[in-house]
Order: sequence, then C-alpha cells, then structure tokens
Amino acid sequence: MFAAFRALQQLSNTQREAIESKQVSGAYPPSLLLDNLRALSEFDRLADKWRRTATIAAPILAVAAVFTLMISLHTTTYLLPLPIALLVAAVVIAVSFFRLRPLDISNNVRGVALPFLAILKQDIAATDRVRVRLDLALPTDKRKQVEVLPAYVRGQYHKVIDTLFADPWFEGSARLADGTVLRWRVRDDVRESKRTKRNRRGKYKTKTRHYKRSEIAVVVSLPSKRYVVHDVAGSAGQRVTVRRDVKRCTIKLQRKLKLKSLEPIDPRFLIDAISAAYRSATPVGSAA
Amino acid sequence: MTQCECRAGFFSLRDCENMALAQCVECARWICALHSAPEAVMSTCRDCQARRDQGTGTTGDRDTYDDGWAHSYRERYYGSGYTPMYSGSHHHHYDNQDAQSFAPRDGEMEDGSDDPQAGFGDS
Repeated sequence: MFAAFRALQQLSNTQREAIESKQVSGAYPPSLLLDNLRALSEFDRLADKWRRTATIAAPILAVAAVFTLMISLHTTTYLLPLPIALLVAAVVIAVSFFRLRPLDISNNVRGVALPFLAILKQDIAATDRVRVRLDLALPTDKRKQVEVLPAYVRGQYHKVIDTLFADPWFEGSARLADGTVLRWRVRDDVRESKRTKRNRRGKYKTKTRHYKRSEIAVVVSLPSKRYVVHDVAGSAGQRVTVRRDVKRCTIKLQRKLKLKSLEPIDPRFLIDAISAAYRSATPVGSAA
Repeated sequence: MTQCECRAGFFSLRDCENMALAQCVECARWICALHSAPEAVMSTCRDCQARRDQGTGTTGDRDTYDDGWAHSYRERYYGSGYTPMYSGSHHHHYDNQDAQSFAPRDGEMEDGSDDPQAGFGDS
C-alpha cells in the first residue's frame, strides 16, 4: 500500500494530470515520453498489486473483526482492542482501495505502448519528437461504451447482456533517423458479455467474459532517394497496400487479431509490421 | 577523441554520433556512455551485454523497458531472422560469421597445422 501511495506522490504534476485525465497527447522527445510512461506504469503496477491484495485482505479482516468481537463479548473485554484494530485495518485498506481505483490505467500502457516506444526510440534522433495520442482509460470505461445489446438466452444462461466498447487507444507518428515517416494506430473493439444463470440451490450467478478484436495499422513512408522498395510480403492475415510517388514509397500494413480476454496484445505485432516494410526495401545503389 | 563504434537503431542501423569514452573489453570497439552497459563492472558494450543476456536467458529490465532492455530485445529480434540495413561506415566490427574463419577445422591444430607430430622441417 505504502509503495503505491509513495509512487503516486512521486509523480510530477504533468504525470498526475495524465493519470487523472487518462490522456497522454502531444509531441514529446522520446526520452521524456518514456520517462513519463515509465513513472505511470510503475505506479499502475504497484497500485494493481495492492488492489489485488486489498480485495482479499479487507473482507478477511472484517470477518476476523466480527469473530473476535463475538469472542471478546462472551469472554473478556480485555480482548476488545483486537477487533477494533482489525476493523480499523479493514477500513484503511478499503479506503485505500477506493482511492486508487479511479486512478487505474489500462494495462495496454505497460504491455504495449511502453515496450513499443522503447524500441522506436532507438530509431529516432534525440533531437526529434514523437507525436502520440494515448488513451489511458480502461477498455471497458463508460466513455468507450458504444451499445448495450438486448438481453438474450444462451444455453444454461437465462440472461446474457452484451455491451460493446470502441477503444482507439493508441496512435502516433514519428520521423525516423533515416528519413522514414512512421504512423501507427491500434484500435480495440471489446465485447463484454455478462451471463447470469441460476444454480441448483437457486442462487443467481453472473460471469463476465471479454472478447477483443484488435486492429493494428502501420504506415511506413520510405524516402525514395534512400530506399528501393520491392514486393512487400506481409505475414499471414496482414493486408498490405503500397503507394509510390517521386519522393516516397508508402506502405500500409493492417492486421486484425482476436483475443478472448482484455490482456494486452504482444507489441511484437507492431514491430513485425514495421520490419515487414523494411524487409521489402534495399538501399539505393545496392544490388536487390 | 574517437567516435563510438556502436550501431544505433533497430529497424535500420546507423553509426552512433557520440564520442567514445572507453573500449569494450569483449569486442574491443570504442564505446560511448550511451552504448556501455551500466551494470557491467568493466567496460562492456550493450551489444556484448545483450549477447551475454541471451546466453544466460535474461531479458534486461522488463519493468522499466530501458535502453538495456531495448538492446537485449534487438539481439533476440535479429536472432529470429530480421537483418537490418546499415547505413554507416564502421565495418571493422567482427561478427560471429567473421570469427568462424579463425575457428580450427576438424583435425586442425590451434596454430593451423594439421599434423601434431610434424616439425618445422616437414612440408
């Protein structure tokens, strides 16, 4: 708990604003952008860890407080400070949980954006800037809700409610050191399925499942004075379009991925898309 | 002052523009502060450190995704089949393929002779 709140205190004003507005938007030197995202990710990692502990610890402490209170009332009042201490601990943990919950950010930041930008930094001159728009809100944030579908019956579940979310969470552009202009966009479409059934003992149980479709689009614009572009071989499931003009050859690679959870995609999909464009090029003057 | 002999970049490689501060004890290249592995006691370049990490199965600091992690990832990514273009002029860094020329062939001694009993007079 202390580690999470210490990390929160160590955030700069800009980082705090980003975590509260759930937006990182603008043109930044790559090192500064990475420093900011590292701080946000570290805070989020510690807060996630603490919230997971708190969801288990607070109810256990509350039950233990009631249990020890009963014992102390029936035996000796000398035991009374123990349930009080347990109750205070449960309340403190619960308060910290509810304070940290609104500051939760999407795991896409530390799972995709941070490693991808750390790789991209290697190809950007230190004096150049990278332009990003990064939505830090959770994929199932209310603001991203698109539609709630009418309830339906499916097998043993007597009520299934599907909610659709659109999450265009990551886009940006950068001029690389070799003159290439790179643009990228990642958009997730999420279906949250809340399924309710009645078990044999007559209790209602609800399960929540998530299905995600990620669309990755990368545009690599290679300077013609530096590179000769041959046939672009995209990987399986990748759609490739090539547009050539006098100054540049622009390669667009798109790919759709399906996942049965909200887990972040592998940043390698973005990296592979860019390297596929580079694989198709040879330096001007060299043999193809 | 000597220029850093490391290659910067990921998708395409270029010469590092910084001035060198030390020499890598493993590959003997001149390296700048940016390309020396910070956790190494003796001067080792990030490429040699990444190669060593790959050998030991470590991946750099995943929590911070720093330059050390990026170099480690680059080494693994290139190992999976991607060959980047190089637009610089430092061609005197020997890679594994170059070093193979010096490895003794089957039945050959370290000094290049093929008969362990042969003296200086034998032809």
